[in-house]
Amino acid sequence: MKKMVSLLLFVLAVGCISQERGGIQSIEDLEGKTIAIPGKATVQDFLLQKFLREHNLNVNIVIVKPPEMIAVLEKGEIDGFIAWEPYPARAQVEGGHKVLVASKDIWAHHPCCVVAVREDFLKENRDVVLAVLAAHIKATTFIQEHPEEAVRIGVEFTEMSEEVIRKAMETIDFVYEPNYEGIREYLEALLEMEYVSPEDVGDVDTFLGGFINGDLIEEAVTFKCAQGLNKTVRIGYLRADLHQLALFVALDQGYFDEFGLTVELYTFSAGPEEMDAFGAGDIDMGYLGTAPATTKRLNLSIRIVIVAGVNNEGSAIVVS
Amino acid sequence: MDMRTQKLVIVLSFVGLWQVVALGVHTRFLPGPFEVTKTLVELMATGELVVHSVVSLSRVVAGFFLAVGIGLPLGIVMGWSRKMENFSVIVEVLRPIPPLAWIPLAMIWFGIGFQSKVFIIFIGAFFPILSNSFLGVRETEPYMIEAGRVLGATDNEILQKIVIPNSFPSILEGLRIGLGIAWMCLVAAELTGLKSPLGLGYMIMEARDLGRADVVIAGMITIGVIGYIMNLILRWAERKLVRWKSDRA
Repeated sequence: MKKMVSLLLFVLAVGCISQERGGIQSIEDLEGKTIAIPGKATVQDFLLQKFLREHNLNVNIVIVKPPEMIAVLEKGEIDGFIAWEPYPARAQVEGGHKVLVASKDIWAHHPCCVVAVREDFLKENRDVVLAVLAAHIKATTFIQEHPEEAVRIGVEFTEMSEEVIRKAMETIDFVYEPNYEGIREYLEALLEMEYVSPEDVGDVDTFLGGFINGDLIEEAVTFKCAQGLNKTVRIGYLRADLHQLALFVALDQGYFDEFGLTVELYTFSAGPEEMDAFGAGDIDMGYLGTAPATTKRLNLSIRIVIVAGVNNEGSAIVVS
Repeated sequence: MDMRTQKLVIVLSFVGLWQVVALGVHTRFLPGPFEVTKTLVELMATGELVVHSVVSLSRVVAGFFLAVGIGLPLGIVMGWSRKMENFSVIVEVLRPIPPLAWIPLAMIWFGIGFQSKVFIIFIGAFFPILSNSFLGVRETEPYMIEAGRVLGATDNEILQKIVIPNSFPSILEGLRIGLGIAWMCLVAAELTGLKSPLGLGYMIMEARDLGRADVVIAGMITIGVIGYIMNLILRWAERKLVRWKSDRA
């Protein structure tokens, strides 16, 4: 019994020992610290690794769901996190934490979220995809032209304060054109990180030619349909990801209704999960990050096509 | 065929069936046994698998002993004392709550480090250990206690020399079930946030994000095999200890 007790105490003691931590003032202070990402092969994982490589830093990377990141940071369990907006803005406004690096300073104009569609769905429902894209274009333009209204919709969508959303909006560049060169850069880095294998990719441009369809968005600009489509489309998105505001603007402004489209929404915690839903055929279209879309398209052969861009930039590394 | 051959045939046919299905569906969603074996070997060669397993085991050991340390005496006391028995109302309400439902609370109470995992494992192992020690004590034949009393034994002596040894089989069964549940809970607990990116559950979660079904299955097999070995060890201990008891009786 004594042995058991001492073993127990030993294991507990070993487990409880945690490294001493000091405040992070500069980029160099990150060395050896614990930083949370929303998941492996997410855009944020990608950005953090790029950043660490460039500054020759080593950190302990852990996975925490974005809604829990601020609480975990405040408990002192992690020293910082990288997440999509509005979490960095919320950490600044409500927690008094600071942004160490904005993602635009890691990679200027980097593409982030995209709109993807299942290949099968695209084949059978080209009109629906065009209608969704048309709504996406209108919504993106709306955000650019009516920032005040967009903030209101963002507050409703994320259930965060107006101050947080206003701050978060400043860092996000809302777009709708898919960024071929940007996605190519992701793919090359994913290969370098060994997240995907060269055998699966084959020739990079051949693969990207099938993976990215830039024609549909052009066509969608002038897409009209005389009578309503009267169809339902299942769309996935990430919980409180302000990058994906266009989807909620389109819903709020009734852009889908104009085409007679009924939208069923599906929420996910991070892109890799949303890709599983694509794989199971549970969603038809989705707003998600480029990195998980590319990684799982290749590793699990989940047949999706990127048909639009959603945003550039708009993530940040936050430290307490 | 003797038992051993039979078992081997069953295992091989299962693997064969797996291979056939994998070839039949031919998708990345279900890698075949060869591919998974290859991944397993790779993970072992790099030492990754051993590290993940050891970290997971250490979490389980801590949580399990904590559950034994609290659940065992509490169960015995509850079985022995009529007054304490009334506490079983609380136990009966808490017991059906899946350990995983505690995860959100574990995260805000104990963070994402070692303690929160130990807490989840503790919850999982605690109730079977508690109920089995309670039942073991409660089911002691009244005539044995009466006999003790007639021979002038004090309450303490009856508890120590008659009731507890007599409850041994039931207690050990509880420990075995508790350890099994602890092992299952651990992996699920590791699927959520973790301070040190290690553990079999973490390995599976990471592989899921990356879309590596072969690594997921390799992790699952490792968990199954370790669980199987733990069970074997406890069964062996059970036989040893229970025989000792019957020898003495």
